[in-house]
Amino acid sequence: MKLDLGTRASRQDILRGVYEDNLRIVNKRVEAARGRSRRARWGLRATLLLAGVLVAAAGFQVWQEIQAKQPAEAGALATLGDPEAAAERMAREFGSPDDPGLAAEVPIANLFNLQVRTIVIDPGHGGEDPGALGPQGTREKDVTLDVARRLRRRLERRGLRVLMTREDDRKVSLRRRVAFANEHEADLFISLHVNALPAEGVTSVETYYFGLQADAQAMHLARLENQDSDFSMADFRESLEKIGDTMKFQESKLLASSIQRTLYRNMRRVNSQVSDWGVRRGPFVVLLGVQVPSVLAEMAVISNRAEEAKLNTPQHREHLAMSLEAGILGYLHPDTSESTQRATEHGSQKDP
Amino acid sequence: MAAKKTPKQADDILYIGIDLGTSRSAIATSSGKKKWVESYVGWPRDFIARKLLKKDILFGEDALNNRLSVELVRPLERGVIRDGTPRDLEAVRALIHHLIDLVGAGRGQKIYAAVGVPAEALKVNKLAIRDAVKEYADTLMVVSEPFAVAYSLGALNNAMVIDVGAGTVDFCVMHGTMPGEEDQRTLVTAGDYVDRQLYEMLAQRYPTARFGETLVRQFKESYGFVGKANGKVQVKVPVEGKFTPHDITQELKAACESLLPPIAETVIDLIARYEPDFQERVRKNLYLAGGGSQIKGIAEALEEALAEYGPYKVTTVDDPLYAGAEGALALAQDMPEEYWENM
Repeated sequence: MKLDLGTRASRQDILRGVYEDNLRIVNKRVEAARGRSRRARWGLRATLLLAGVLVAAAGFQVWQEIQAKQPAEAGALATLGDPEAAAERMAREFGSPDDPGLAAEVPIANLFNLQVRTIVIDPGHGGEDPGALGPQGTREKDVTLDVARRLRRRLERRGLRVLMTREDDRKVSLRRRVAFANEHEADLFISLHVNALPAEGVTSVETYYFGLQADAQAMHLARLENQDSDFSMADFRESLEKIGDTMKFQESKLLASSIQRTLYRNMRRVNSQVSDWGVRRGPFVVLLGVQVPSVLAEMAVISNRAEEAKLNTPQHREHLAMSLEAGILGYLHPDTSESTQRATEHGSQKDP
Repeated sequence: MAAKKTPKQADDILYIGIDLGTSRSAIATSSGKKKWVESYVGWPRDFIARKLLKKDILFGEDALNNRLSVELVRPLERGVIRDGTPRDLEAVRALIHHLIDLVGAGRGQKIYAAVGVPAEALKVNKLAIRDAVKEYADTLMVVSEPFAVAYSLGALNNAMVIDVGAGTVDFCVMHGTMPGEEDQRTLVTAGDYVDRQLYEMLAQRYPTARFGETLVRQFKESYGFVGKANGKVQVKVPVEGKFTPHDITQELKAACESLLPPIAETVIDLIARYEPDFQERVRKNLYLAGGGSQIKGIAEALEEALAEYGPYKVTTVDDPLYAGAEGALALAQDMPEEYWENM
């Protein structure tokens, strides 16, 4: 059957496209196809680096000022200051970290050719803390532990050192989880959770990185996830002092974007009703204390009866692990991952 | 169609195209051989089974026919390696090795392989497929299955290919360039979904009859239809040990027709993204491939389902079983040597 044949030129383009697509799969650079000179790339890198350093320095200064003005009150992190005003001031004076003109679109690890060697996976909850419960009694702590084990197996096959904050059903305080990641010199930190929502029938995927400028829903979720944190107010202050490390937040955002994109795309394949709640900021202490790019993924909604049934199947848990793996690889190799080339159909960036 | 390599190259190198399907896998070679196998791998359960079967591993129909004596693995789900377990990976490797053995790759020949994967397969899936194939090929590339079909048809512009497989229905819009992510779509309401629907409907209507998964799939493949029935579909199924005739006409029709709404919806959604004049041209060039395209009346029924959005012309490809493998082979043969060398 011969049909509408393309021109010779388009056939050659297509063959080249297949070739380049395969190079991306095996993580080889498509130098000739980039259409960007080496000098231009180095110029871009230098600009990004300079911008990153400026933003980091600015962030540190502003947060020191904010801290000096704020009373040390106990309670939710959001009461530590007026984050919107601080962010506005920071943006006015130094440019917002989210300003596309300043935000680094390339992971720092890649920019400096740094190797990501150790990934710490944090299965949420455990022991006497079951986390969220499904209508049939499925416990969040069991789902997160199983998905974490599957994710570890997958990442280890890629030669990465993977550690878990808990290996079995035991309670580990948030403070201990943070310390574990820092003690083991983690390069990335991924906290796994599943959500429970009051509205029946809703199912969603969302990924968080640390930020005080959170919406009401993120604040509510953070309060739940921050329970029994075992952190003191002094710890908060110490951690907030480190918040000047804007680089970490930019990196966390990139990691969160990549994970959200692959999680949503894959979950949509098995459930067309799943909502993309995007990449969000939230004041999760487990993300604040870790010194490297860190995210918290709410992979599914356990309060949804159908979703709960799926979460009880090994296939679905493996699917979740595979999607997380793809997101991590997408972050580590942005030049070569198709998953990070385009936004999802419904958009993944929903920062407040 | 494809620009052929010189005779010297053809002797030195065996180009192969592989379509790794959830239900069936096919291979086509530059030496003109074509083979297919059911995507099942079976290992004898114990030494008695091994002695009886006289084999360490069984493939395809052989494995299926001896399913009670073997540990049966269908390693591909939705067109990709199912769970990524060592057993699945081993089964995929064995299946690929078996396919290459079937076409008898000559000694001293290099094997350049192109392998079809579902349109929306993730990078990790593609890597897993690559890992499974690479030990049997000197160099290889993976391509989207519907795109490979489009390439084999020469439908590089103004066309859409819909590959109705067992695990996935893959869509690919061709507009004269390499199709991107936004030009492709994958649905999981495919052949296996029809089987499950049919099984549930039959189990509900005939609770005493023994309908197995394999039997139901055979019914669908032999008698599946949509639209108007040409007489009754009667099959014999055991009831309390006795084979008894059962009328499955309405259930078969309903199960097969369950494929149509998601396909029609996806066609509309995909086409709507393009310029109106391009939409107009694509409407005349929809091609159905894959095992599901063999369901009687499916092309006409799809045209009807799409009619309210304008006139559509849906054509079933001539050889759906091999269209993906032959497309991958054509790509492999046309691919410049330097591209292969750099892989």
